Amino acid sequence: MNKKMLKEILAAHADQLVNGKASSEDYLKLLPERDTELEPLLSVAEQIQSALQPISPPNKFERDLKQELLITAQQHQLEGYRPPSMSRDLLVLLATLTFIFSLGLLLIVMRRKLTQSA
Amino acid sequence: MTADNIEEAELVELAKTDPEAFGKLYELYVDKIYNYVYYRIGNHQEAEDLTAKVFHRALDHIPRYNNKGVPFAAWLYRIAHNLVANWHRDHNRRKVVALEQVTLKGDKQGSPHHAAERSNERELLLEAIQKLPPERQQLLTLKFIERMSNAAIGQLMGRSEGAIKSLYHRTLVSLKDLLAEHQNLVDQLPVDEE
Repeated sequence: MNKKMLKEILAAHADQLVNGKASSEDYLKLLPERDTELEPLLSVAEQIQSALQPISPPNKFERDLKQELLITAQQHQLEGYRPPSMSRDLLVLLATLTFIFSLGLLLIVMRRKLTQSA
Repeated sequence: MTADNIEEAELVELAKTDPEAFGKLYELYVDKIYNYVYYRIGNHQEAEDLTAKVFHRALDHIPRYNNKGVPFAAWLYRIAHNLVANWHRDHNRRKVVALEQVTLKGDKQGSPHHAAERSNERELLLEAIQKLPPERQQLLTLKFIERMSNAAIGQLMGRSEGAIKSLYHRTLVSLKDLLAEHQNLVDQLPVDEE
């Protein structure tokens, strides 16, 4: 049955928890026949909520990084920057390989001709 | 039109060519990305380095960003997720968050004993969280720190909302087992006789 119900209750509890409104008791009443399974899971969720609190990065780091990014963005703007493109890189690689292969082929043909004429 | 009062989608479009608009996006997301990275790797210095990499990469690639129904935040978190995964691969280790260095927002003052006990419990739980597979850690970070809805988490992780609920259920069960395992070990320790 109620595995789906259990998941729904846990999900709803987590949503309420992050908004600071959850009460385990209310959720336990929703599934009394499985309260021994539900209760420890709600308790773990509450522990997670109190352990994982938002932190702030240092102000200096935030300021410096913003400055750095703005400078880079302005350089991109001045240089008419084109972002990395995998298809473009592949095309360049393919062209390079074709060139090397053709050059090798040309050398082989020339060598054969030289050998034949000798 | 200034970058202060426009919708995010427009801001993203603007940021492709306007450094000031990119600066606004940065301000909107820097705390979120820093938190996401910090709780995934557990070290402030490395979190700063990786956060910087995330935004530099975003700046390099934003001209190619296409809004195909995927929010900009999801795109940014995807970059952060990939960099964190690379970091774990390179370092091949998992650090425990040094709680004494964490400045918690809204952390209430209590008695020293209570605070120590609480801190110890928190440390144990964070250790247990860092033993979880990466996708479960990601889920907890997005749910409890970023306070995202299951639908938004699903979009970001490429899963359905139902799958996220199932993953959350399994994550809680794993954590409960890990904590119980730890408690069993503590219970088996010999007690000092006076």
